[in-house]
Amino acid sequence: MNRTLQIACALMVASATARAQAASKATQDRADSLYRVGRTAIDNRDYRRAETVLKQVVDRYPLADRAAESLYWRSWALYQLGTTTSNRGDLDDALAVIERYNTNYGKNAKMASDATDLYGRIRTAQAQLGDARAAGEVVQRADAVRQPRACTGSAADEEMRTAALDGLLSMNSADAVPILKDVLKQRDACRTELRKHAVFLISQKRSADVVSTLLDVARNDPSSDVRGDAIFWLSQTRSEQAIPAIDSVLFSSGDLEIRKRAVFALSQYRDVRARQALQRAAEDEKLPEDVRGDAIFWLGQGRSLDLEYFKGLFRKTKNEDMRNRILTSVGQSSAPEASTWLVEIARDKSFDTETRKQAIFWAGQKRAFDLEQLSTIYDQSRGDTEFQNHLLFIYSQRRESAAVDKLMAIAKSDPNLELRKQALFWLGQKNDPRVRQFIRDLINK
Amino acid sequence: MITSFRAAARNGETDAHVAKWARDLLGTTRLLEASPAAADPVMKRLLDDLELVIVQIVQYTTRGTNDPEELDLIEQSIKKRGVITKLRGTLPGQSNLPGIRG
Repeated sequence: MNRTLQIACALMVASATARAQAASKATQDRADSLYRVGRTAIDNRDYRRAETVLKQVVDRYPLADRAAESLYWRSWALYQLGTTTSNRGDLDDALAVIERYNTNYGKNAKMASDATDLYGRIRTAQAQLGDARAAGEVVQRADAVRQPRACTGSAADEEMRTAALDGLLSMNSADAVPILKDVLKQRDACRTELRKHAVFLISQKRSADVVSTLLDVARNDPSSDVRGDAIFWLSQTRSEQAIPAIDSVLFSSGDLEIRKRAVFALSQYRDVRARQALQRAAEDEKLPEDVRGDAIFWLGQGRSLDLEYFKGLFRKTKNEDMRNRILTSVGQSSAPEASTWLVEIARDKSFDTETRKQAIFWAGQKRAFDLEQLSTIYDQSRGDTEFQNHLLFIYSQRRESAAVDKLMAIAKSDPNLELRKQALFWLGQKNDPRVRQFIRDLINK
Repeated sequence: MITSFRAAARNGETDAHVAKWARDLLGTTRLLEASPAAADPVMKRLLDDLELVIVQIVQYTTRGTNDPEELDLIEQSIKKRGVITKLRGTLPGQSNLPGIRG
């Protein structure tokens, strides 16, 4: 009897455990699917729905695996609502939710840094909307970053410092710039990311010493990455003093990447001094070819092409690569005179074949290019098989049926067998019924 | 970075290099969101989309555990926000924005 009772009790316990497990699994599933609805609403930019649904996950299933993540993403959605509509109420709610996350799940180090980061961003947004307490907190956090401390080796520590620094966006220039200048003096390798942020932040401020500080960073920071950013953001300050500063970096830096960045930065100005600096760079044979090439490229990107300048530069330079860069720059222009000049270069046998090939290539890329001209150049180039071969390639690139006619004529009767074979090759790439018939006729001949 | 993450995650891997890359990119994206570049509505939208996706990738790679459901949610965000298409359509082949390289 006792034995039977024991078995019955064991069965009841097992059944209850199974029921509890099934219920727990069902709860997890419901929480998971509600969480998924909330996350999908975020993807759909329906942040109000997202925060409402994610609140339900936490309220109904506080012990579910997804409860912590729901809190994080709810705060994130509220932050988006608060910043896009400048709604202080949503930002206050976002703060309350992330504080709840930190209280309940703060020990979960894997998401803790994200939560701290979000907390800092919410406080910064609140400060930007005039919340004095938030502004005070932002200042305190940023001021702590200002004090040089030895690197701990912890990535999380550095991220926290960076997040604190980002709060300076909302602070006025007079208060923020001295802090940022102190941060930029911390030139340890572990502070590279921090300095990159500081470079950006200082470029957003209006202060007399912003340009000189960025220039100092561009010249002296040990990290090439930070120096490059300094050049870029220097150009974005739109300060009158920035152009000569970037100009000086372009011609005096020993760092190729920095010089290239300086060229790009100058290209962003519509200012005669910036243009002149680029022209000097394009002409300066002491500069690395890459830098000169970039200068030529950016000079060709303006709204109106200064063809006379490029013609003069082309005449002066003996460097084949630079000549090709000039042809490429001119080739980007849709101006008819650019096309005319390219054809002139292609016809001029005093230039080497590579240069002429490059010139006719760019001319041939233009829709308005006259095929008659190409035919004349082809006929005038007899004896120069390499160049004629290149012209066949130009024909093959054209969509006009006259180009196919010319290729068929060459394939049929050009005195040069090699050119006939090459024309046939390019014809084989065309999807044209006339070509199929032409090849059939040739085979059956 | 997104492509590398997807490729590694599909094989159940989380690459430390991708994790670092994602964190750096998240920092840059947030800086750009606060910069004049975000005054352009197209750029602002792209940066918002990017931030959402990168935050998830950062969290996923930090956890370091294989979570197919979370992976599915990240994939959903990438697709719904059309991040890859927008990146290809918005940025030139070789961007000069700091941190964004073609």
